[in-house]
Amino acid sequence: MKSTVTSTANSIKQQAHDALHRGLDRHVRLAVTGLRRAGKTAFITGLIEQLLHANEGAALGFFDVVREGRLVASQLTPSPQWQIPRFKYEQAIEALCGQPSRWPESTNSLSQIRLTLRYQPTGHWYSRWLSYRDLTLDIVDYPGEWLLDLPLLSLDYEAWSQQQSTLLERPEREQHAQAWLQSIRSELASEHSADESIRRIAEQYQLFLAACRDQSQLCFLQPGRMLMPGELAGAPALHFFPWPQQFSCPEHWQRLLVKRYQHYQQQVIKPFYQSYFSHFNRQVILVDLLDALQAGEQAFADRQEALAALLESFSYGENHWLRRLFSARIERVALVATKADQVPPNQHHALAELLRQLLLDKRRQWQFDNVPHEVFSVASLAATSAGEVDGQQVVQGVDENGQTRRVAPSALPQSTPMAQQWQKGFQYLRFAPNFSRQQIPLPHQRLDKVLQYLVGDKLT
Amino acid sequence: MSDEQEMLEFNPQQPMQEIDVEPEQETLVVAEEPLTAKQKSGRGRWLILGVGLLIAAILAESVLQIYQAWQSHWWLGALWLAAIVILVVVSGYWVIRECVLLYRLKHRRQLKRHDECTSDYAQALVKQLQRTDLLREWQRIDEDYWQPQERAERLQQDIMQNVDRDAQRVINKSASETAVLVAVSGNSLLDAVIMLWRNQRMISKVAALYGVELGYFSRIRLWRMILTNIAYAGVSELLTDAGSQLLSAELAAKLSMRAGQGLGAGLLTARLGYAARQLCRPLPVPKERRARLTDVQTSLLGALKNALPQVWRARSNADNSGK
Ligand SMILES: Nc1nc2c(ncn2[C@@H]2O[C@H](COP(=O)(O)OP(=O)(O)O)[C@@H](O)[C@H]2O)c(=O)[nH]1
Ligand SMILES: [Mg+2]
Repeated sequence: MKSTVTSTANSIKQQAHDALHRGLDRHVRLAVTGLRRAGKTAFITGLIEQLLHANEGAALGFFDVVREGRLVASQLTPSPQWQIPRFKYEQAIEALCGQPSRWPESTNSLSQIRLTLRYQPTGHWYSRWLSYRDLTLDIVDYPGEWLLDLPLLSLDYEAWSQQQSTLLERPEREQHAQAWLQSIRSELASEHSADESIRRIAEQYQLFLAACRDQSQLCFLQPGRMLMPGELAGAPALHFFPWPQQFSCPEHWQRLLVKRYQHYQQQVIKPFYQSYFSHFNRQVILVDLLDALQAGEQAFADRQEALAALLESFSYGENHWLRRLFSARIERVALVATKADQVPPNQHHALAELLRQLLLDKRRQWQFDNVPHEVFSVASLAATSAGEVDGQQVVQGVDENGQTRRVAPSALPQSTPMAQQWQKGFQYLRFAPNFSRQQIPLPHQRLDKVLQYLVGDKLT
Repeated sequence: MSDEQEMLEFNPQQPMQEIDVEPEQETLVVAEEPLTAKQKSGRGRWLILGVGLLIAAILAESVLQIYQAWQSHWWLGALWLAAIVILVVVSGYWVIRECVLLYRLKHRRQLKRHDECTSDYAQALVKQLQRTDLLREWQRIDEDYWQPQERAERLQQDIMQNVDRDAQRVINKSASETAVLVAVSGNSLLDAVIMLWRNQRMISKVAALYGVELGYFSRIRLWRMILTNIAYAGVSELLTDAGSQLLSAELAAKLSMRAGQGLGAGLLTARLGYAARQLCRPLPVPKERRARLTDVQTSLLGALKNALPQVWRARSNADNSGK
């Protein structure tokens, strides 16, 4: 009797403590997610750039804490996880403002950065006694390829092989797969040891993945580490591949493949997500719709699938198996269509609308799970300016050859394009940056709204 | 230059989706004289004719008179001439100014729907405020990528709120001054004069803050618009302010009569001020920022209490002695 009373009292105390802690929590762990070349590095660079210069002319009208003049300052501070390299913000700015101005290098490993925002609280009972408070913002950057490993956690080797074999039937994949399939055939006939054969086939598989990525601009390619191995380059951990269903697999090969696959799941994927993703409480999902449209029908469908698989693994429902892995609660999700500066302002709404359409099912799920989310169209680093020619809105900027170009890009479709629209095709010019040091803080489009949505509520 | 303007193939695949914006609903009733328009057709024409004849007569008379004066003494004629020229110039100036101000009041721009808020239009609205500092500020912050709704939001928050704050101060000050003056005066004729005088000043000030300069006729027109606006909006406001009405009924029992009159006068002043603000503001006041008379009432009571402790207590003393 007495013990139940004390345990109830303890539990109430604990709950009160947690609630207080959550209420006072000044720590935002932002998960920046997006397929490769979705604009993650640019987004993080832009975000830091605006925050660091918030009081020095950054255009952040929609970010309340700045508009109200309550942001004292923000600063890059050392992250407590010392073994992780720091996000190369300075190098990115150096590249953007260099001669010639370039986009930041594409990411091939993990990095992390921490920002501390010092602000004056308002509207709380304690506001009057506190002259300032700090909010910590942690951001992780990593190659987009790695993200697609996450769905592997829910599949066993059999299921994965089956899934990949189905994908392999598509012409855009099949055309690159011949060398790999041929190597399976010849290894099956050869006298090599299982280990040796599998290594050889895995090398071919890696080439296949690279061809899919580089020639057909596909994204749904697993395992991601094969494309961007990082410290795993050449390690036996990567010597496996999905077994094509058209061949029958020798017993001892199968054992080895399953072992490698499980090792990959347990020793590569899980630790990665546990260390860097499991505690985030805010998420931003970046999608490059313009590039996807330009890449054509198959690549577009592929990206849609990849995104769906990805978001499936970021399900936040109460009973999802990933809840065990992700202990923290996702409080907000910002869905961002990136590189909005490649289309004129009168298309920004259509861009966001298209993303809204494409994620319709997912958004329903979020609504059901009560996860707040919002859609934005954003240019993290705006490389163009808007103009008008003969009553038609155009964008002007510098292309990759350093030529000034003024273009009227294709009108955006309202939802997934029809066959007829694919025939006409979509064209969006990839602009090069054209920044200089005098322009700091570098221009952006609508980052302030995203910031307000992602961290605004923590800054009151 | 020609290769600079080289265009990518432009293929408008489908008409872009209409941007759906809720037009900001505003109970803004502008008096467009439906009644007087009819009357004008009958009586107005005769009136204009009469006035025209009168002016013609006066002109003819003066010409004759000057001519006669010239005949007798040339300097007398010159004197008359000078007097009349001055008179004509001054009144001409006045008439033109009146016309211009009235025209400006009638044709001042007001953003009715947020999707009209293009960069140029927004700039015109800010210019209308006649504040170079705000115009410069606006030119600094305006971004060409903003959607019209976003621009309207920034216009509200970064520009209009500045002016709103000043207007609010003017309204509060006038309302509490009027309340105190009326509470002190104790003479209904004097009350009326005070109301007219204070409100007149307040409305000019509020209008000036939003860049509306008032002449004689434009002032009358604005007054008429304000009164119509109040009359129409009255019902709905009464409903939303029902709570405050109850409160004031309870309060009225405690207040002395003169303090009560003061309170009423103050509330009316505030209401006139808000109506003037709504009519002169280039953008409608957003719903969540609309002032509630309940707040005004609280501040008025504070002002009355501060200024006139004896009036406040008069009744309760009388009650006590009565017992
Ligand atoms: N015009 C424009 N291009 C962008 C922007 N952000 C990214 N890009 C382009 O997208 C490419 C990939 O961006 P990056 O940030 O490296 O993508 P990540 O792989 O997701 O990190 C860059 O090299 C740019 O060409 C942007 O805001 N505007
Ligand atoms: Mg990157």
